[in-house]
Amino acid sequence: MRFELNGVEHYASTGGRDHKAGQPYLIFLHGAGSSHLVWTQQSRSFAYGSYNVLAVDFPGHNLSGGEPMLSVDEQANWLVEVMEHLEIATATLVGHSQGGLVALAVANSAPERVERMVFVATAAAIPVNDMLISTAETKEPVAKSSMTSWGLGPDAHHFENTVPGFSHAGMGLRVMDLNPVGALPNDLKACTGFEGGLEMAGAVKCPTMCVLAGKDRMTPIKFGRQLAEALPNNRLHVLKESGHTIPTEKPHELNEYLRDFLAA
Amino acid sequence: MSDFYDLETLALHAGHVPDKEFGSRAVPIHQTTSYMFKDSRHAAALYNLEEGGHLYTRISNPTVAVLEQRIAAMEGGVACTACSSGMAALHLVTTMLVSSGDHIVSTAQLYGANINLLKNTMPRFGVETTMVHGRDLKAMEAAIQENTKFIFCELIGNPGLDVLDIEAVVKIAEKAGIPVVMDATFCTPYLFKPFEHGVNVITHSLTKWMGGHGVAIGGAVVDGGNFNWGASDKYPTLTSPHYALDGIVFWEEFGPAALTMRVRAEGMYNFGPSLSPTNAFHLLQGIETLPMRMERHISNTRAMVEFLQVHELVSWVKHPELEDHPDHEVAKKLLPKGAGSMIGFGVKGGRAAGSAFIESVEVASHLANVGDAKTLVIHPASTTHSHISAEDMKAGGLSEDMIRLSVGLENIDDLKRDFNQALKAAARAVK
Repeated sequence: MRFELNGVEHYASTGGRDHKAGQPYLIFLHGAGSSHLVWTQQSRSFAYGSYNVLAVDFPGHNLSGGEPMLSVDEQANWLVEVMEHLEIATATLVGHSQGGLVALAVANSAPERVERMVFVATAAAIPVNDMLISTAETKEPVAKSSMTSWGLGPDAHHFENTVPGFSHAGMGLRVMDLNPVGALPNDLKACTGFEGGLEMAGAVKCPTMCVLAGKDRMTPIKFGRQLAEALPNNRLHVLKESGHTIPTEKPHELNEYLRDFLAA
Repeated sequence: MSDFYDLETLALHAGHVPDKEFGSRAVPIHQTTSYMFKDSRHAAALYNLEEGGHLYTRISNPTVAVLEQRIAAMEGGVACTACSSGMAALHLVTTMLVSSGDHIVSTAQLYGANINLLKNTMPRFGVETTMVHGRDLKAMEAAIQENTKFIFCELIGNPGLDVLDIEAVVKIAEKAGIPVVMDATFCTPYLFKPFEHGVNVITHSLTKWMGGHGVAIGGAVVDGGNFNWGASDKYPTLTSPHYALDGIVFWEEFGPAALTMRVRAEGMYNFGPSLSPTNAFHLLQGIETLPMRMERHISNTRAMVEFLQVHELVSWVKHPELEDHPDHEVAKKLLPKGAGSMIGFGVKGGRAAGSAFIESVEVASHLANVGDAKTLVIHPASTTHSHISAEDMKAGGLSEDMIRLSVGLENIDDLKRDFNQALKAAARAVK
C-alpha cells in the first residue's frame, strides 16, 4: 500500500491482501537498517489469516520516501500519524529490534492506540557500540556485513532456511542495501538515544508478549529478559537456537506464538 | 568484523543442519513427490506463499533446497533455484524477464545451445537477441535498445576461451539500467564470484565442475538480489500484479529475491524443469570437494598447457593464462586463482589429424561434456557446435582443427603420456 503523508509517499505492505472492515489491525515495525521485507512471512500469514496487516517502511527506508528519522520518538509520532491518516483506531504492534523501541514509545505517548504489543528480539534499551556507529557512517558496507553476520544464529550461518533456496545472509545484506545511504547510521543513533524504556514498559497497560532469541548477538537475551520482567502483563517465549533475526530464522515458531497470543 | 564461513566450509556444510530426529550427517534424499499438510491452514499458507515450505517436488524439495542454499551461500546470492539443466536455467531467467517484443544483448562467445536458445528459439516468441563480440564494448553499448531487458554473457567463453572484461560490461549495463546475467559454469565460485563484480544473475550448469563426477545433469539460477527491479517500468513481471496469488507484486513482497520468487511461482510451476532429489544429492556430493578439485584442475591444466606448447605435433595452444592470448591481461586481473581448466589446441595435420587424435586417446575420454573429474576431449566443429553456422562459429572463436580439452584430475604424467602417444598416432594416420 502506497499512501501520501505530509506530501511524501510512504509504503506499507498489507501482506498481499486488501484491508477489510471489521478485521483487527496488526502493525509490524522493522529494526535498524531493515524494512518491511523482514516481516514477509508474518505479514502474508496474518493477512491471509483475517487481519488487516501493515508492515511499514519507516521514512527513508526501502519504498518509503522522506528522510530517515533521528529518534525513536519521531518514528513513534510518525506511526501515530499514519494510524490517524489511515483511520486505524487501534492496533496490535509487533516490533523487531528497534521496532520494539518504537512500539514502547507509542504505548507511552498514545496508549489508547495500542491493543497489544509483541516484542521480538528486542529490549527496553539498545545502546549501540560507538565503533559500529562510526563504521556505519564511514564504511556502511562493512557495518551492514557485520550486522548481518552478528544478527544470524548458528543454523542461519549454516544457511538452513525454511524458504527453499533462500540465503539469510544474502537477503539480510541486500534488504539493507535497498535503503538509502545514511538510513543505517541514523537508525543506530536513534537506538542509542532512546531512554526510559524500562519505565515505559512498567507503565504498559495492555497485554504483551516477548519472543527472545537464545543466540542473539545484537540484542543479548539478558536485556530482553529485563524488558519482559518490567512488562506487567507479559508472556515470554525464548527460541534457544535462533539468532537476532527471528522473523526469518524461526518464522513458523514466531507465527505460532503470535497466533496463540492474538487468540487469547 | 563479519564471521561468515569461507568457501571450503560452505561447500561442505551450507544448506544443511542435521535433523533433530535421526541426526543424519549426510543430506537425506527426500525421494517424494509431495508432502503432508499439517492442516488446511498450512496447505493454504504454502499455496499463498505465506510462509516457506514444500508442497510439491516440481516446485521445491528438501534435498534440492539444500543444494540451492549451498549454491546461494557459495555465490553470495540472496537465493538459488535449482533446475533440470543449465539450459533450463537460462530458459527460466529469460522467460521470467522478457516478453514478446523485448530484446536481449549477448556476447557471441557462448556455448552452442545458449546461442541457439537466444538466436533461434526466442525469436519465434517475439524476443530478438543482438550478439556482439565480447571485446567490442562499443558495439555492446550501441546494441542496447529501449526494449533491451538484460545483457547475457559467459566469463570464459565456451569453447573459444575468450575472457570477458565483465567489469566494463557491468558499467555498460548500469548506465542502461539493465541487469547482467552470466553463465558462470566454467569458473565456479572457486575461481570467480560474479556478484562481487556487479553481475546480477548467475546461471550454472551443475553438470560440469560443480558436480564434477559426470553422473547427474542439473542447473541453477542464482539471484544476486543486487538489481533494483523497481527503478523503472521495464520489468512488469516483477513489479506489476501477478496473474495469480491475489495479484502479488513480487518486488514489493520479496524485494531482492523478487526474481527467484517469480522463477519459483511461475517458472517451476508452469514449465516444470525440476531437478530430481537423487540428482540433487549426487550434485551435493560433488560440490563438497569442489575447492580441492579446482586446485587440482588448475595445476593439471597449467602442466598440460606447458606440455602442449612445446610438443612438435601441436600447431597452436589457446589458454587465457598464455601471454599471447588476447584476453591474457583481463584473465590475470579477474581470475588470479586460475583461468579455468579448458584448453583449446590444434593438431598438426588439420581436421583429419584432430579426428585421429581423438580416436587414439586412451586415458582421456571422447564425449560431450566438460568439467568432469576425468579428462575429456572433443572436436567441437563436428559435435557440440555442429548446429552453429560457420559465421557464428568464427564469431565464437572456433576453428575446424580445434580440439577442446577439459583437463581432469588424473596423474599428470599419465595424461602427458596418453596425449603424446595419441599425437604420434594422429601424425601417423595423416602421413
